[in-house]
Amino acid sequence: MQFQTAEFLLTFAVVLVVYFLMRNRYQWLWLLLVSYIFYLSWNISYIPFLIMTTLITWGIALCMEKCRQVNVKKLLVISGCIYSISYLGIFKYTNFLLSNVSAIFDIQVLKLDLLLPIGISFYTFQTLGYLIDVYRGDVKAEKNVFRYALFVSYFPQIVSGPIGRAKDLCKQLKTIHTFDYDKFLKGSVTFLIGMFMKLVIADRAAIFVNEVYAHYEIYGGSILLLSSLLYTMQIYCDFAGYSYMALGVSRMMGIEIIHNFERPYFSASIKEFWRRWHISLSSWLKDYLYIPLGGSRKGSIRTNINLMIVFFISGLWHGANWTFLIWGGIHGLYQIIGKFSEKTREKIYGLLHIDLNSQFRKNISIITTFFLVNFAWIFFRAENISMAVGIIKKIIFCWEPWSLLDGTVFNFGLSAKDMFILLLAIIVIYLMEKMSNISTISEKIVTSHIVIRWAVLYFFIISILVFGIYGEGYSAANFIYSQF
Amino acid sequence: MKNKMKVNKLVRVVIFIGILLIMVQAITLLLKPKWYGQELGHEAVTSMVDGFYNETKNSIDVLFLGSSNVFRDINPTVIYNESGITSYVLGSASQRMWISKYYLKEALKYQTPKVVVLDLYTIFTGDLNGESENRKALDYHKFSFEKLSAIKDSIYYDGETNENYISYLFPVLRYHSRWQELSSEDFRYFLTDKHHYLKGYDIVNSIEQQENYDFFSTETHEPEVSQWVLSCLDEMVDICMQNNIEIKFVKFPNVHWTQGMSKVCQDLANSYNVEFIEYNENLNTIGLDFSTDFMDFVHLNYSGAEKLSKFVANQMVEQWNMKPTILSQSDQTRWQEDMIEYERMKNSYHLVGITDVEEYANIILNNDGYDVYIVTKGSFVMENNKLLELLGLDNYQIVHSGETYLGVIKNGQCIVSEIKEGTNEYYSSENRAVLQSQSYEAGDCASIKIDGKEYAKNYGGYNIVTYDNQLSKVVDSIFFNDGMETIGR
Repeated sequence: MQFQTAEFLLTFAVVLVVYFLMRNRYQWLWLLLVSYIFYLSWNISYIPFLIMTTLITWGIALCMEKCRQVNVKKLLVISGCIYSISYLGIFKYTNFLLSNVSAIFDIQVLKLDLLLPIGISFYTFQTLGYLIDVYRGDVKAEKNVFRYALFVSYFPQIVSGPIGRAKDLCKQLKTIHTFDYDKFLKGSVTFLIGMFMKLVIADRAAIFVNEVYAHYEIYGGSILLLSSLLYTMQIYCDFAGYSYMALGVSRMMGIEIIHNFERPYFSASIKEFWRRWHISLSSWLKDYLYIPLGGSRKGSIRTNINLMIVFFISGLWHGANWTFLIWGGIHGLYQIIGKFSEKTREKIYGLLHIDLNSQFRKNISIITTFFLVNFAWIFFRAENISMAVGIIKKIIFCWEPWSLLDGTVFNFGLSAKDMFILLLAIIVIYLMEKMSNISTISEKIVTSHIVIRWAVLYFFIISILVFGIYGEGYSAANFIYSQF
Repeated sequence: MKNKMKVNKLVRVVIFIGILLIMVQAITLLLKPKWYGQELGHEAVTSMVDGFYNETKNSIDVLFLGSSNVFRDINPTVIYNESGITSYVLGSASQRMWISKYYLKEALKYQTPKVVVLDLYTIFTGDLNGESENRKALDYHKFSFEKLSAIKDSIYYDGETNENYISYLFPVLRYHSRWQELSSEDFRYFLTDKHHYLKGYDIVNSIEQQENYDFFSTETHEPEVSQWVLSCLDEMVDICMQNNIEIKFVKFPNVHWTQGMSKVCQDLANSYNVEFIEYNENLNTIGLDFSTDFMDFVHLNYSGAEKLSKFVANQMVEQWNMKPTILSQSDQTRWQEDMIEYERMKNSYHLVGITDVEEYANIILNNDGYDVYIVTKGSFVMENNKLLELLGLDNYQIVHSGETYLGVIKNGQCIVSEIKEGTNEYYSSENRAVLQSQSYEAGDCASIKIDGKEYAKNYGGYNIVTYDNQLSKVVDSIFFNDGMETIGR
């Protein structure tokens, strides 16, 4: 059950009414019940795995807290980490490993028909982070297994994040929440903007991108470049849109979760991009991997190695495919090259008499960063490396600019009207983000004059309703009576 | 103070939701496909449902229920003209019994008919119906608990999901992607008069002649009727009994109908103690002619429907002992106006079948309300254009190479008739018509666009479009050029 479905919206309305009517110390139990129902609505067979991870990590954390011997504590946290990594590894990476073994040794290896529980990467990292926090003494272990189960399964974030932190979330989940009109309104606006990004932009762009990527061999460089640019918008509006919907749903219930995006395409460097993109994952990797590896404290070479490790793991976390690994590697390299070339770039700016602090220079950096990120997304979207390389080659060598002007662009599932709406919607999001991030914008909308507030709300509701990509789509031909 | 703020906020929320619902309703009406009939595959459900709600309460005496075998075969306007009895057809595409049952329940909220006539064709066609038929049957009806129940039935019998249930309640979810296809017709829906002068009847004028047909075949196999259909029939008979309404089972002419099916219907009627009227065995008495009155042998065209409706009207008076309905003066006038409008429609339909130049010109000139637009394409020399001469156009006689001709007739009077070199253009704001004649050198095109839609055939020579101002639609598009004795289409 995804957030943007009518089914979810109607169910959530009921959940919310009961939630606020309860207003007692059992309110969180209602949330736990709803979270499990929400999770099993995807597939009931995922539930045992979720329960297993919950029980094991809860038990280990509790033992760690009770244990006074440092070595045993260390052993416990290591065993917890091994469990989490193996759990994720078995489900997500076994077939990837087997196919590589098969390719390297040229032997036939059977692929396993493994179930991949939805949200596994998110809740595994969340529980792993929790174990490390408890080990470090940053948070206290949760004694009540059901409360802990709610922390792991909290429905707004279990499927697609953000990856929650115990110190932020657990306390809020324990608190009794009464209905707060302003919070509800803020949550609604955040949710609507997220839904707009997802249904009007991401899902519309996906129609074009999917068509072009499916037959990339036959299309010219210009169409492929446009497709890669649209994918750059698609992936952002899809993921950020979903995150804002999660944030909105949670806000409506009075619970604030991590803000996962901070206008990433306005970043002036790749380093900055990673401070703004999928913040809950990048901060997780920084806190639980990069810093424990030594971070930037052990010299330049070690820093670069650490960076590459973090980005390779980030790539692998996103999917079990070499394309993701390369995507992570490219971002790691971007940062290393960025560091090494910093002085050269400053010299070039100096030679061109461009002030380093000027807006013009910042805009050049933003555009450069955008295209670097865009380039890396090609690997992220491609099904295999040869496909990504093929697309890049065509973009560089088979430039056919006329196909952007002779109407060819309207042959990939999006009509001229659709393209116009897509462009308009992207401009709306661009202008909003130009002012501030979506979360702050939502607050501003809520506190603005009632006419502006209502106009904005109506705009988003009607735009989603009419221009959103959902349902079967109307085809006049299917409605023509032809029986008797 | 705090309570006052709470009340204020609550009031704001209610107003916000109220405005939102109005907006959603308006958008839904805009985006919903409009079905006005008069074209195959586009049966007039929108006009039928809107028109029904628009009828004066308790003014309809006979209700016809059934599939296209009813709404293409029975013309209430003709019945009224013949007998003075008012009737309305509530029929939709391949209408199953559960829809007829719903229509009956809904209709009885607004009307108190004395007789309900139910065509039984679909008792043998299975319980399932396609999504398009279900949507068309339900989309334009007002919200009610009966409608909720009908939606439930439609989903159950299509094996659809709950999500579709929501989209039946909020059709905008189903039709939202139609925003790309919106036309002026969709916007004009808000302003159009919802009165339906054909009272649920869907007029067609085509004739399809079949060589080998076996009408009312002697096939004696008696097909089964499902429990679901039987339960719907039970309920309908029950409702009619409770409301003191006489229900009659009928089968209107249909080539697929067999004597075996007829026997099943007769037995069913006997079991309910109601009358079953088999029209398939009375084709000669009705006066139906296979060469002129059938659209496709499953449905009648307007000529056949008129004959059948007259026959049924006489039955109502002579055999069913019905008396002419007592209507208010305004309702009487309305029914008479509807008859005139139907006659007009018939004339326009008749026009489409004419190939004789003289007959065509006579209809145009002797009936008010026709606009005739004439444009030419290419370079040609035509010295004797009988049609234009008959229509009273004067300076058409010689169109030389490189010249174009453009003419407009309004209510039988020529208002434009001129020859120009290259391109000849005319614009009528009244009908939003844009005319353009181009010689070979200037573009070689004959165009007559009305509301942005192209109607001219764009043949070399004269291209003529006839617009009916009373019906507000194009009724014919023809061409006529050198060497032609009759009109081309």
